[in-house]
Amino acid sequence: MKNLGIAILCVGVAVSAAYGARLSPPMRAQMVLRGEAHVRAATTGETQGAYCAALVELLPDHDAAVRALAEADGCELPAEGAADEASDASGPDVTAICVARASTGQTFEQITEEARGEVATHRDRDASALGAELVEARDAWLAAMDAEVEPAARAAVLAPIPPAERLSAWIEDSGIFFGLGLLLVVLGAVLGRSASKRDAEGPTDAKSERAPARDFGELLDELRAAVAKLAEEAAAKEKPSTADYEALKGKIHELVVEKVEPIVDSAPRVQSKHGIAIFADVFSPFSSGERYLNRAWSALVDRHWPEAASSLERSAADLAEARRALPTGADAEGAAPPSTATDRP
Amino acid sequence: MTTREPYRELTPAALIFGVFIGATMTAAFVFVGLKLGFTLPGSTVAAILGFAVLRGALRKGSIVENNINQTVASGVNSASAGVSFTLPALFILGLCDPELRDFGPVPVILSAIAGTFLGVVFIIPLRKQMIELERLRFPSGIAVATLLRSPGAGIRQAKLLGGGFVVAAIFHVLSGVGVLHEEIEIGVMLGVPSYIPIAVGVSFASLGAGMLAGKGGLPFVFGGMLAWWVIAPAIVQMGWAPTPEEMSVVSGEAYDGFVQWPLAYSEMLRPLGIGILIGGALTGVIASAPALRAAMRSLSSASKAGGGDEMSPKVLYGGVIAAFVVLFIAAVMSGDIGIGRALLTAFVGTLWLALAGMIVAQATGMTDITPISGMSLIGVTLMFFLSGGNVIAAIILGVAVSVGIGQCADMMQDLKSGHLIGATPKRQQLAQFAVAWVGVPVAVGAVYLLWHGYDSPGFGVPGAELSAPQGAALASVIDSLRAGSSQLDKYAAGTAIGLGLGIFPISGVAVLVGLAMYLPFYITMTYGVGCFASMALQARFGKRWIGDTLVPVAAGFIIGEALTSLTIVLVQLATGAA
Repeated sequence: MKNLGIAILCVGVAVSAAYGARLSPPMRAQMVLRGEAHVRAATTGETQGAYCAALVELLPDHDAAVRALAEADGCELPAEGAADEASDASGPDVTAICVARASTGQTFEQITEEARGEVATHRDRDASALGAELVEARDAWLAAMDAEVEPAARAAVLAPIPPAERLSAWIEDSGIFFGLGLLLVVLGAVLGRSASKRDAEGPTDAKSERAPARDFGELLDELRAAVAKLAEEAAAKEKPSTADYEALKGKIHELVVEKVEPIVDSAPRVQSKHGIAIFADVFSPFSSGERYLNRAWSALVDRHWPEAASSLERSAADLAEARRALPTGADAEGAAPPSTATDRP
Repeated sequence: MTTREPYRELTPAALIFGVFIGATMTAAFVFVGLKLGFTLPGSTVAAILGFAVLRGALRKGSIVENNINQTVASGVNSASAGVSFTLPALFILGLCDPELRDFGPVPVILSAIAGTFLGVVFIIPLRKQMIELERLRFPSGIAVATLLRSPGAGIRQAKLLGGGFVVAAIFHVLSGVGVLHEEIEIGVMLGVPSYIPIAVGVSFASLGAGMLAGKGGLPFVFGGMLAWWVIAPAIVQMGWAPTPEEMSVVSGEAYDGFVQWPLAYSEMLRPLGIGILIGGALTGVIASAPALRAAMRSLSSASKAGGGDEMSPKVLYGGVIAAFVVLFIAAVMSGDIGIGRALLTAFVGTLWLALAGMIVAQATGMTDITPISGMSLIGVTLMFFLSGGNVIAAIILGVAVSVGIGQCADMMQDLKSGHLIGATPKRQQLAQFAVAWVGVPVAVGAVYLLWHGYDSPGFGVPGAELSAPQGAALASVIDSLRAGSSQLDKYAAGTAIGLGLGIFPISGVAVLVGLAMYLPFYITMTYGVGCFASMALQARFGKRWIGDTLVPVAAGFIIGEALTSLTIVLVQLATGAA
């Protein structure tokens, strides 16, 4: 049932997300114009890059005329004496010109005229020093810029679609399929939730990937008793040796790995079985006990035995409180360590 | 340290040194944020710096004292991202609209300080819920704890941590100097169109975060696969994307690039992902209400018992009221919006900060990724509409949201580290309360200084020394809002999906799926490689091996990349290469 729920949920998410992402017809129409401007701008960039690269490659000894033209065209030539390498092109930006003009309220015609004027300025420059192959590359770039002007101007003057109109157009166009997908999401989630609840209430499936169940209360008792024993030993020792520090640190580490982590792994099952309120009542003091265990370890590294001893004592008290918060007789099947990654640093 | 002294934790040395490191980081990170458009992982960098000086050079400080030091430093620094991503938008918009130049630093500082305190107080119950009950991973928190514990963890663990550090540093340097690409586009090499990305980022921090998350991170990976391997090709196959013929262009790389970025990512998946994050968080609030109530009950009883380790809920209530009042004052001072609207914006701003704080805390806890820009964007949009289109008020209150949610994410990482080393949460929170606000005037001052310090305008215009990419992006969104445009349909659809997903019994699945759609896929993929590697290694070597071996290596990856990023940025800035 749980797998069925997950499968339905996945299909539901795919359908609802796909139709949720779908653009409304007016928005799609705008994207046609913006897309054309985008692709044309990319073509301009490519042709300019090719022209600039050819300039570096074919005319390694740039004379003053070539250097001036390259600069005007936005090609950065390597400094004299430096190794030749294709430079980044950053010449006139038709799209930026159109956007800037549109922001001042100019019309499509005015923007087009100005941008074409900008292209013409470049076309009119004397490129005779370049040679046939480079002139061809430069012409390709100028043609690409010319082709970019109208789409860029059209995209720049697009009027935004008001949010409410956008929403209603999207609902009209994609609402039914989106709604169906959403229904599947809810159905899958509800199935998953009820299967999860049944899993928690029933005995642990021996064939599942989970490790065999252990009694949660028993685990908690074992941990509490072990910590209390360490706390007693620590309190009894007045002048601990270096070996005592290391031994106690090692014991705490073992407790964290062997006892604390299985309890932490059981958290989802305890929550499903007893409800979130009881789970919180148990795991709040348990977490505090765990934190004091960690504090004891840190204090031992810092060679502060009294802090380690008092932290262990406090840890045992918190763990006892966690045990008291667990409903009596209701915890027999509580623990089933699933395989989750460890927190342990 | 002699055992007669109390165990050092919240000490003046840790506070003062933390403030010093934090303020320095804040000024530097504001500059980096304006120059490059991103900041660096504050907690990790602060932990490394503090650890190196306190523990290494000065040979003093306990593990928990070092933790206070990094908590303070990263708390102070958390203002840098919030301020440098939002406030510059106001300067940039003011270039074209003289009416938007009429604002002073006082309301900005008040608003950001209110955001800082709200971020700290909202974490009080969330700490219990996310760290103690939900047991979220907070990979950077684990990495910092691993570093702090390293003096006592033995030679083997130190070698593993160091090994991970070196590997991450080498690859990050190679990527930083251009020897390796930042992402490896396997799909493009195989001839797959770029709008079906099969790519991994060269980021050992993402890999390490995935390794620490293991199986729990899989919904994030599947969300990314769904977005980019199912929805993106479907957009093209079903004719939802404009065809090359309609656009009068030929298909090719440029067309594929258009479908991938401006269309599928910016117009479709990203806003949908933001909506899913919001919907998931709303259901999360409902689903975790009993846990939150239990957490509040526990906090209340601990505080009544006296001498507890937890902040009293009264601090939460008092802090929220005080911060709300400050936010209201900032709203009144920020523009001519009237008392009614100021009250409304302050109230909704506070509510949004709580919800967005929960979203970023959960996202950070599960993936180590903090979607501050997306949540700030929604915050500014909300403020814009509620303030009646007042841009100054919207951005100034947006600064509070941005700073506050950054504070939430940072504080949760610090509290996770604290849990793992046995720190006292109350002392961490007290330290944060006492000094986190210091970062605000430093960050705001740095933005003002950088605006006027260079040939004014200092950023956001062609040819300026600093490009302020995030501020420019926010300015462009606000321009769209002013023109009457908003991606409302996608936010609404995403919110509905998030609400539905929130019913599923795996906590946070909606946040993971939403985050996967919000991010470029190569980040998700690298994280996924880490998840799958962790699962395979656990199946082969067992859980104990993961704790003893994989965790320190993954922590080394995260720490190594953070420190190398800082070094690369400093070298680039020093040599003018950035």
